[in-house]
Amino acid sequence: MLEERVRAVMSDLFGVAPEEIGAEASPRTIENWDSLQHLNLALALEQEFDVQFTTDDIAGMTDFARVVATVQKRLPVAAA
Amino acid sequence: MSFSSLRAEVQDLLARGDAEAAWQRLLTALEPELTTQACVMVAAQADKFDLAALGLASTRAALLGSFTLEPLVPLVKALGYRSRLAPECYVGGFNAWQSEALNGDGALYRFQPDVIFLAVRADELAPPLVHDFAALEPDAIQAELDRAQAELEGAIAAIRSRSPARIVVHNFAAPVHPTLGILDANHAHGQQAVFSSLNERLRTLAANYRDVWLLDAARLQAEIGHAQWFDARLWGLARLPLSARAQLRLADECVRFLRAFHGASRKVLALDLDNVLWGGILGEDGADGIQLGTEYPGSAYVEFQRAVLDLHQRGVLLAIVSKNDEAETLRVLESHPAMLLRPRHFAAWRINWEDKAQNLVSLAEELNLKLDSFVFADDSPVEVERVRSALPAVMTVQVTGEPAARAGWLRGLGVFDTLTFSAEDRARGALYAQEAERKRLQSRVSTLEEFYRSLDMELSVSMLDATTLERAAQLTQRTNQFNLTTRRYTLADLAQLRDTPGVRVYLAQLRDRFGDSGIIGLAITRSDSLTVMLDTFLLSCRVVGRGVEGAFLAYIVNQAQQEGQLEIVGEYIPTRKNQLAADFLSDQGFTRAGDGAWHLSLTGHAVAYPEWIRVHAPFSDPSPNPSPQPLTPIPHPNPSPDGRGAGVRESAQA
Repeated sequence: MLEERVRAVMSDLFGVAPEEIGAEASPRTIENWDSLQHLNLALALEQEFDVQFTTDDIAGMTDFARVVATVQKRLPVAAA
Repeated sequence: MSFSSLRAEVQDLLARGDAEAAWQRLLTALEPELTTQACVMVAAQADKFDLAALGLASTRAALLGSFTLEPLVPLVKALGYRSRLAPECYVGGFNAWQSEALNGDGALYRFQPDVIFLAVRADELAPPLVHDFAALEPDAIQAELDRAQAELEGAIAAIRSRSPARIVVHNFAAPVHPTLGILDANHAHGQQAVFSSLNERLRTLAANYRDVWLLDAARLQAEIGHAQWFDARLWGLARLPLSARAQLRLADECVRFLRAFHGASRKVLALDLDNVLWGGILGEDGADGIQLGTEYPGSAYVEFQRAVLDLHQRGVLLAIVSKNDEAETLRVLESHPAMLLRPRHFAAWRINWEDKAQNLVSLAEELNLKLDSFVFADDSPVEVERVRSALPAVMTVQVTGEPAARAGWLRGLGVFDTLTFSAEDRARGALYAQEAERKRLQSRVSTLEEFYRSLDMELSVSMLDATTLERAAQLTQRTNQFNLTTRRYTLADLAQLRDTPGVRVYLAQLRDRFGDSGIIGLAITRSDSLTVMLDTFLLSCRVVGRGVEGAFLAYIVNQAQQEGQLEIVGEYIPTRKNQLAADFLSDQGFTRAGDGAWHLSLTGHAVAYPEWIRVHAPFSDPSPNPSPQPLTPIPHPNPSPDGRGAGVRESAQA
């Protein structure tokens, strides 16, 4: 569920179909995932999940798996 | 929110060759709230369109500055599209504004910009003024100011000598945490004073060159607050000293300049009246009952009028588009003591019961302006949607939210900005284009019927019961305009009528795509074995003109027919206020007899309902309407504070 939502945000931002975003998706595999879109990704995820990232969080979410893990880390404990 | 379905729809419309519809659909991603993701998506999708063919005006904007500027590009584009501009953008190298300005053979000038934005921060232009301030002697401060001014002038002069482009220069925001702390504002050479001086020098400098404008970056930062403006994470990671919100606000300000330069700013504010310029509905509450005065909420509406008046004084044309009785309305505009706006402030008005989209087309003709000069503001989502769908060039805004916040909201709209430069020149050239567009528009305004159909209207007819007595009495007492006989009934009167044999009190409730209007119609019939007398038939003026009155009457007539009656008789008793209902009975097929009453024979066919309204009723009904539905409960007539009905109850059978 979380992964689907992250995929949807990425799909909108990078202009690729959600199915094309696999676990290893990264700036190397997705053309529009450049350094500036990376920032927009972080901001969009903050809005989508109502969370707050640190600078290190943003710098560290370098592929799909890490993105998901970072979102997970910042979600309140009670939420799924 | 995901855009994948919207993108698919846009793709689909493009594939079918309807670029205009695809474009309008794409732009809906920018509403109701503007987000970075939406702008990025829209800017990317725009590559699939021929923007010139869609009528967008091309404009070439270069962004130079001392920090990362690329993120602004999709925002400027998307905001530009909303104003029917098609910005093409060039971004200068990181902190390379000076070399870009000086390099006559460089990419900046090859781009041939129409506008060059120069976004330089004091942090980069004059670092000692920001970071080493306490160590500076007054002489050193002056020297630093001189140096900064000279560098700015150097760049501006270089650009001016190489390009006719307009130049828009950011001014400087004083540090939010001055080194001298609370002493700073009290000190002759505090940072507050120094930055004031820097901005003053910039203002003088700009005035010495042709077409150099200042963008008040300091005010923008103050508008949303430094804590909201600066995102330390983005600064750390990308040398981007603007939060997402600041980026959007700054891009918006840039587009305000682009609009003004293009003469594309809006010029007319066309306003609804009820619940916009005053609280309440004039036709129902009367001139003494509308909320407008020194006490809340009337005072909030006065403040809103003040904001409208400010626009008028700045040169924005004002117009009225309102469904009301013209004579009564003008009386209020002339003589209500709390009105700030008077008839003389309005360039034109259409106060009638016609379609508002047609009214706007007519106003545009009268004022000799194109529809893309218009802003239309109304509190009704139905009217806003009608104008939005019929006239995409008009900027429609729904007046919503609490009255106390509306004056501020209107002031912040930012779509009327003008420069005094060449406004007349542009108007001359545009006259011919206006004529052609007007002709094109007349044929494109979609029919009212299509629009009504899209509203998904549902009318529920039921009988008066104990829970609806109060609303019913209120309707008979306050409805003046669409009221055939203007008979007033108290609660007690209606309770008695409800229990009188041969008498029926019908109530009509309307729901549509935008919500539940509640009980908006009432009819009283008295029957003997052969004839039904229509004692009362009224409809709230809020919902007149959409076929609701016809549907309500059709229900009553068809029921009488089913029950074996031979004739239905109605009256029209004219008053000063109910001219609106004068032709209703004759339009519905009634004929006037010698006694002055209106008769309709029930031995013919059943009366047809307007196709676009579904009627629900407690009685089974073999009319041409879709299959009868079970009775829909009527919400409590006194809604709870959160706007929903306090509870839904089954309406008892009479």
